[in-house]
Amino acid sequence: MNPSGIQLFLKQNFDIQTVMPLIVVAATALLVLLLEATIRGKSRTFLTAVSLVGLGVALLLTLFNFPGAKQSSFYGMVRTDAFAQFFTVIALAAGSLTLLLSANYLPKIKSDTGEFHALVLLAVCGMILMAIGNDLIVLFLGIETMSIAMYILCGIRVDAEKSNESSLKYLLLGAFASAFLLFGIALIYGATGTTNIEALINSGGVLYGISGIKEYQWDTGAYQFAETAAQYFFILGVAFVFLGFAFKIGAVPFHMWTPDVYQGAPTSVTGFMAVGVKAAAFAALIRVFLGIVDFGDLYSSNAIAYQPLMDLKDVLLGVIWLVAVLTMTLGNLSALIQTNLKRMLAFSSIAHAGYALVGVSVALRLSGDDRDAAVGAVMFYLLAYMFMNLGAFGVVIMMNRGNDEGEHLHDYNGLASYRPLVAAAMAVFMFSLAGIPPTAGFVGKFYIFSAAVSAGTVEGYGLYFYSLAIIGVLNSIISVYYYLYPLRNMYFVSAEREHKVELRPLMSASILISTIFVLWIGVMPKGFLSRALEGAKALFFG
Amino acid sequence: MMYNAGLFQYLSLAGVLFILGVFGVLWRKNAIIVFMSIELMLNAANLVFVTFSRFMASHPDGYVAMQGHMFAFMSMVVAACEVAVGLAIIVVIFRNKKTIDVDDMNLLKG
Amino acid sequence: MELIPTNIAPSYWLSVITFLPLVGAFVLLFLPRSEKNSARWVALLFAVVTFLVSLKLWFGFELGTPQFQFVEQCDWITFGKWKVQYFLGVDGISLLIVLLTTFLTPIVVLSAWKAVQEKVKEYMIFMLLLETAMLGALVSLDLFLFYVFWELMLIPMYFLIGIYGSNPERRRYAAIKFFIFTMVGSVFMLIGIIYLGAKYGGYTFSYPAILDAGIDVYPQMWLFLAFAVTFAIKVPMFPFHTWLPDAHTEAPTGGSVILAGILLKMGTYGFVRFAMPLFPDGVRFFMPALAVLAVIGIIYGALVAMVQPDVKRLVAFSSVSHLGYVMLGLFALNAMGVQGGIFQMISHGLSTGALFLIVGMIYERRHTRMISEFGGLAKVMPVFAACFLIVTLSSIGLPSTNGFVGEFLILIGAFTSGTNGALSSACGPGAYWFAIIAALGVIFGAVYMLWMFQRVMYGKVTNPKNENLKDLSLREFVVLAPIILFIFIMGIFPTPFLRRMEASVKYFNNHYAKQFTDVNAETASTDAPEKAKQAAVTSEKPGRAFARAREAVAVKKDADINNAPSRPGAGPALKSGMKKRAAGVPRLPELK
Repeated sequence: MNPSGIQLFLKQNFDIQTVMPLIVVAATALLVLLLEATIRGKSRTFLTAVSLVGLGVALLLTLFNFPGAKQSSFYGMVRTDAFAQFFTVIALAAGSLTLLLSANYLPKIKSDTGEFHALVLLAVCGMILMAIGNDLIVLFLGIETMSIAMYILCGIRVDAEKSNESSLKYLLLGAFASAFLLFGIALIYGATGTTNIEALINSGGVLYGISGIKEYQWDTGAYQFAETAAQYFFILGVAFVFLGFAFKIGAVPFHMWTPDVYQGAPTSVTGFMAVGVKAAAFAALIRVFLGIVDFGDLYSSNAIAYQPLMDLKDVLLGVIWLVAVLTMTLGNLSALIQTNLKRMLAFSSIAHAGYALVGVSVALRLSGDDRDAAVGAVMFYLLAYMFMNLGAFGVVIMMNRGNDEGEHLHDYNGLASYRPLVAAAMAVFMFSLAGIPPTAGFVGKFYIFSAAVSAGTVEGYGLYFYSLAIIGVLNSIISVYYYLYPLRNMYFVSAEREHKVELRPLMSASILISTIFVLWIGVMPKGFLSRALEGAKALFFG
Repeated sequence: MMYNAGLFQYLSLAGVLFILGVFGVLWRKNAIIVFMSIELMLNAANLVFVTFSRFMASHPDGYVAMQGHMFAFMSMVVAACEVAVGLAIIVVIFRNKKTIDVDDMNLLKG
Repeated sequence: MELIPTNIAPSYWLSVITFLPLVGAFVLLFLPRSEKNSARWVALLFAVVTFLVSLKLWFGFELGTPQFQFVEQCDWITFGKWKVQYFLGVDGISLLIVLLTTFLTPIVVLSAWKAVQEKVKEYMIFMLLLETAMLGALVSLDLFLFYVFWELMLIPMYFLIGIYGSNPERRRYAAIKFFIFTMVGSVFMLIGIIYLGAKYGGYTFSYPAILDAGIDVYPQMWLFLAFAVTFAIKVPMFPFHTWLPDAHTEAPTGGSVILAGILLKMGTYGFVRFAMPLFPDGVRFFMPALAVLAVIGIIYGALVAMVQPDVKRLVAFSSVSHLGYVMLGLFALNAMGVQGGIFQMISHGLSTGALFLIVGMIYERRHTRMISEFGGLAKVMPVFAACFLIVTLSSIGLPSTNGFVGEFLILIGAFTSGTNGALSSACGPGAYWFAIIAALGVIFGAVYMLWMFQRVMYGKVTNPKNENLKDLSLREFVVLAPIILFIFIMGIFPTPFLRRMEASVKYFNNHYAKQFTDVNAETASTDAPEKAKQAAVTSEKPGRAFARAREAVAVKKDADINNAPSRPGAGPALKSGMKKRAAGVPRLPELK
């Protein structure tokens, strides 16, 4: 092959530019590891700065130099469309805010190691992979890259037993779910002959998998068997993949790990897990499931399909409906009785996954513009959730007094009188999480419920989706109740003693950024919404 | 007559391995054994990949047939990473708690 | 869309009025905490300036047209098909409540001058934020925007009750109860709003568009229920009222004034602006139940108020009773009833606001509100006693005070409507009993208010602590004087107020008219006032009834003046449009 041929080959199939943000983040992670090993005795703030610069460069590249025109690259393995861009931004922003929050927090919990920064960066890499992955196997790789980094981050406090335990629990259950996911991917691969989501949709619904085997020496019924089997493999595969994702987003009934892991992990990691991991998992879930459902539809219209495959979409819809309802309700009800704020936020994050699932289940039913709106609403919600939740965890970190002290609700007594600004920020986050205007959380919930109601106006599905919206708002009421707890303690109860709450610059900056964004998105959501909608539109090719 | 193991047999084996893994995770108490069970599940998935890849007809576009083999390698790498991290975590836990029984992990309760 | 003028001249008055307090709150944010006095002055400055600017609405308001005025309309959020507009405007229904809001806020700020010594800056910020939220809710013509402001009202009020309340344990409970109660109602309204937008508003939430859309009868039922429960909780109507006494008792004086004066009006305003015009079939279906609840509210509120040992709680329950009148007037669905209802909203805002201020003034002096602790205060504080008496009489509804006009119009309206109008058409022939029973509430009102007044102010000074109480200071007098002035102005010259709401009320009444077609307009308009007079005579003491009858003549004259075309040239195109709309539909009975 002559040089020009190689160049052409590279240009066509490995457009490096498309994964530039990923490369920048990965390179920064390696650089940070290197610096940590070579530069001794220096402040870790330097490493934070380097990491932030890396994330910032990646963010700029994502925002302003994202390849829109040539969307698929690496043989269709990655797809850098507006959808990917949106979630890449969420991942990078979540990573940056987490690093800002951790800068002053790590010394307090005596885990001020350089690896922390590198691991956060690697987890961000995994999230970006999940956002841009257009192939089940890339998504799996992304999930694992992210998860393995998260396992270590959870246990970064080597001496704290709680942290160890959190790490082990996350590892065992996470790996368990990954195994299901991989098995599911293998089955889908067998049924369809491809793991590429785009190829799956464009194949026009023909199963190229094992049903294509003709030349092999089988008995007479073998072909028939393969054709039947392929359909069941497909359904089983979809079920297993859903199970894997449900675990990652912490949906009921695979949520049991969430509160324990969240409580035991260092708080900044908890925040990162609650927003980053969840958003990335939703990105992958949306891409995979809406694609798979499309394929299932095509298949049942093209081939001699068996009933189970024809019903797949409806069954999936029902399952996600049920999971969404259970997730919202259980998350909120459990949060109601918590006295540890961190654990309460963990349960609340389960509930929020439920709200986002409402949008996903609606998107499964709808088509065209309405589906775009539903998916856009979920995307917007995750963006809003990132700022409000990381902000809330930021305040929890600020209140931390080493070890696990400062997490209990009564530690917040009278905060408003001696740290009014921190209390005000916390109030903004709590109102936003509860979905009270004019905050980001309200707009997010509003569009999710709008999607549900407008899906209800589709003939024959009224009861299905109206009830979903009504259960959603009922849950909002429950959630208002427990989000008011910390507010009550901060504002209405006088402090027995004033805790030392240091306003360190980086941490304050992070909380300030979150506050500004929560209010900005709440009052002027237009730009954010249109980016989300663009992303949703880019998702459905063909 | 030589008996050729076919698709069905391989898949059955993979299924049995997977189910064994699942039960191992659910029933065993020792973290290392739990971890081994997970590896069993991952390897079952690898086996499925390789089996399908071997028995699959070519895709009209031509590039598919080897995908499964490739994915098997990929997931082996991932599994290896997971093992490395997992064992490290288990070692840390053992140092702190002197046990790796998953039932003793009960500090975090609501 | 008839309700919106086609050529909207750019106007920023409503935005300025709505967001000026917010600017004030923002300025306050940067004041140091120790600067308590400057915080007070800044807040007062912004509140007064807002009031002065809002006078533009009063003087610039064009009479004789139901159109929205000072309209501002532009896109706010677009998301796919969904479009949310920044859409403001006032008409005759909202104008007076907007002015009431801007009028009461400076008074409230002034009243907190001495009472609030801790966290002054925050108090003022919450007050101004609350004013923005209330004004925004009143002038929003986009349902989404309305909902945003509606919920925003909760936040400052929650803090006002929770932080500045009197009893540390109970105030937390009261604050959370207030928040949750209101929230429970409004989330269902949110679903209703989304449904309306998706199905009838063409994915917008524009109020005029949805009003014109013609909502199907079946959805109207549950939509009305969703909206009505929301607003009924806020009003509060009888079974949903339990948050009110708690919130009032615990809230600081300023909070109580705002709560009684304006926040509760949001509920009645929501009925008259949204729940009723949007879902006329729903109104018809649920009217019996709601009218019964309104009447139960009147009587129940009065009876419970009678036995309260705490002055503030007494006033709180009197609010339940008074707002029952407002609701009854609104459900009468004729010009008198609805105008009376809106008038009563304003006058209740003034008189109950003043009552809470007065209670606050006693509380500042004695740190108790128990009636049994007082007695003979009139001797010690003569000026105070005079003010208190005027406000009490206004609350009872003595002629020549504002309370009388509203209650009288409501009772006549309800009676007319009950004999041959919307009420009788929806609830059956005996519906005039609502008005008669409600008139009983007037007597109860006189009993509990005067009894309370007597126990507090007259007799001997029994408690030595009361002997050396200071009379009103100049500041306190300045706080009460404007309200007392308006009590008389509205009582003696109600015409300018009624005239401003007339066209809008007529328009909306015609809007309902087709749901109540079995009304015979001819007979109703001739003999109804007579009957109403009789009803008033039979249920009241002779002296008062005479005064009422005389006043009725005055009101009638006013109404005659109102009915004459006030400005011949005003909006001929619109009027013809209205006639077209009303053609073929029997008019509801009106006072001719």
